[in-house]
Parts: sequence; structure tokens; C-alpha cells
Amino acid sequence: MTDTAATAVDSASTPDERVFRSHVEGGAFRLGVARGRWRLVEISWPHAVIAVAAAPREESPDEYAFRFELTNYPSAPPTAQPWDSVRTGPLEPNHWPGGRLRVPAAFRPDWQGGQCLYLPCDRVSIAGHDAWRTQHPAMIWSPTGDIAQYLCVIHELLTSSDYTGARGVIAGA
Amino acid sequence: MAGMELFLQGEGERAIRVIEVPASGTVGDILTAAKDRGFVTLGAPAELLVFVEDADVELAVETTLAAAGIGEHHAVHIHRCRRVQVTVHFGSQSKQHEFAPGATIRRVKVWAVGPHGFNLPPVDATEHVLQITGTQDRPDEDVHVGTLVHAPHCAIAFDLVPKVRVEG
Repeated sequence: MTDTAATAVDSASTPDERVFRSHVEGGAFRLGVARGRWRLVEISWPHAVIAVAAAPREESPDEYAFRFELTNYPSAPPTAQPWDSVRTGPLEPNHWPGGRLRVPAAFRPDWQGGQCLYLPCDRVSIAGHDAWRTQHPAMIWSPTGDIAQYLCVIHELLTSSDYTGARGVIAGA
Repeated sequence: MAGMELFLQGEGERAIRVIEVPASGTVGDILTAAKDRGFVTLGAPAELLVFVEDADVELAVETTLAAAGIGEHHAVHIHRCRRVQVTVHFGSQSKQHEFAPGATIRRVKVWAVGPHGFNLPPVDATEHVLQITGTQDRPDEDVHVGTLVHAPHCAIAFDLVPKVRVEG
């Protein structure tokens, strides 16, 4: 860990922030950064904005930003919403990632008002979906893991053949 | 002395660690740095083999990092197994192939869905994933297959399973 990173970890005000910052300096997160899969945009505890790379699609961005809410990390799962880093607000629904089956099922602007992703690793969405623990065990948040496990799920979707580009492009908007 | 960071995986260690080695160093410096980080806990030093990620053969400890083509933020692997016997089940069929322990799950899957494996159409290939047989564990594409086995049992089996939509 670099001195700068150590300082950032040491300056964290709460245990959950301290753990998160240490995970951002950890091997799994940094490998993803080194390979262009994601990058940290900012931390403003208890939130962090992380941009995740997407496969090239016509008239679609090469990455999507997500604002994670990380209270009680990593004991509690994160929750994340697509984020407009320029406007610093929630991403407009027609700019959300679109696709054929798996992608639109995960990125649902209609679910919880667009405040979270419809994924088993998401703190808000897992509530009331106990069946997901047996249906999608590989996507269940593990408190012994780190933020990379959530990012891997998003990155896999955004680079899959199921992903077709931003929703507005699909709708011809 | 200028240092460079490497991503390290190895036997018995699923986590990806960051180690720092002298840029002008040798493969032996990787073993030293790994030991300093408490990574190497299995086997005597002479038993440990160092691999570049997705390379087929181990490196001699006296090889310079430059000669091995190892640069900043490259990924390496330490293991006692020289090869890992991988079996992949798909439906009623099974295929086997040997990989170096530093082979990524991505590389194993490329083989499994390719012409020497089950020869899936490209779209189908991307919609399948490797799951360790008898478990619900689906290692990420960056995981080295060697992290999943312990010497002297240098073998592992996967099922090639479809990715399913989250619903309900």
C-alpha cells in the first residue's frame, strides 16, 4: 500500500469506511483497475462512485458510473444505483444499460424507483428475495469478500453478449 | 532501487495480493516478496514454482524479471503443482486438459467453449460459466486455477453451466 493510500485509510472516520478504503487498495480492486474494468471516481462516505467499463455498443458509453451506499460495509451488502457523474445525480432511465434478458432484468429503473440494482448482491434488492440465496448463490454478497464481488457482477453483465447498449439507443430515442 | 507492483495468486490463497519487487530483480525476488507478505505457507522453498499468468511453463528463479517479460502490474502465481488437470463437464460429456496453475479461469473457459472443448457458438459461450463441480462456486475470470487446488492433488473439475436471469 502506498503512503497516500495508507493516509486515506487512516483518515477514515468510521470502521466501515476504513475497511472499504483498505479494500480499494487491495489486490482484487486494483487488478480490476489495472485491467480497465472499473475505476474509483470518488468517495464521500457513506457513498462511493465507481465507473464500470462496458463493451462497445453503438451510441453508448464505454463505462457506466454507479453510486454505492456502503453503510456497515462489509458486514452489510452495498446497494448501488446508476449515476450521472457530470450532473451528480441519478442516471436518467433512458441512459441505463439495456439488453436482451439478463441485463434489463438487473438494471430496472422501475424497481425501487431506480435506487438500486435488481441483483442478489444488492442490500435493498435481497430483502424479501430469500429464494435468491439458493437460486443465485454465486451472486450473494459475502461479508468476507470485498467490493470487487459486486463490481464483477456488474462488469460481467456490461460486457456480456446480452448487453446491447444504453436503453435510449435501443428504443430509438 | 525502483520497485514495481505485481498481482500475486497462489496455492491455497484465493485472494489477490499486491507485492512489490525490484524492477531490476529476478524471479527469486517474487518468492522473497511473497514470503515477506506471509503468502508462502505451503511447502519448502525449493518446491515452489513461479509462473506468469496464463503462461505454460514455470520460470527459473535466477531469471530476471525483464527477461521473463514481467512488468508493472503483471500477474504471477506461486504453486507446488507444475500442471493442473482440469476436467469440464457439459451435459453428459466431459473433456480434460492440463493447464499451468497460473492459468486464469478465463483461459480455461476459452478452451472449454472452443473447438478443443465443447465448441459452443460464440453467443452461447458468453452465456455459460464455469462452476466447481459439487459446489455453487463460480470463480471470477481473473482467478488462477492453481488457487483452487492443493499439491499433491493437482486436479479440479468444473461444470459448464448457463448464466440465468435474476427474477422473482
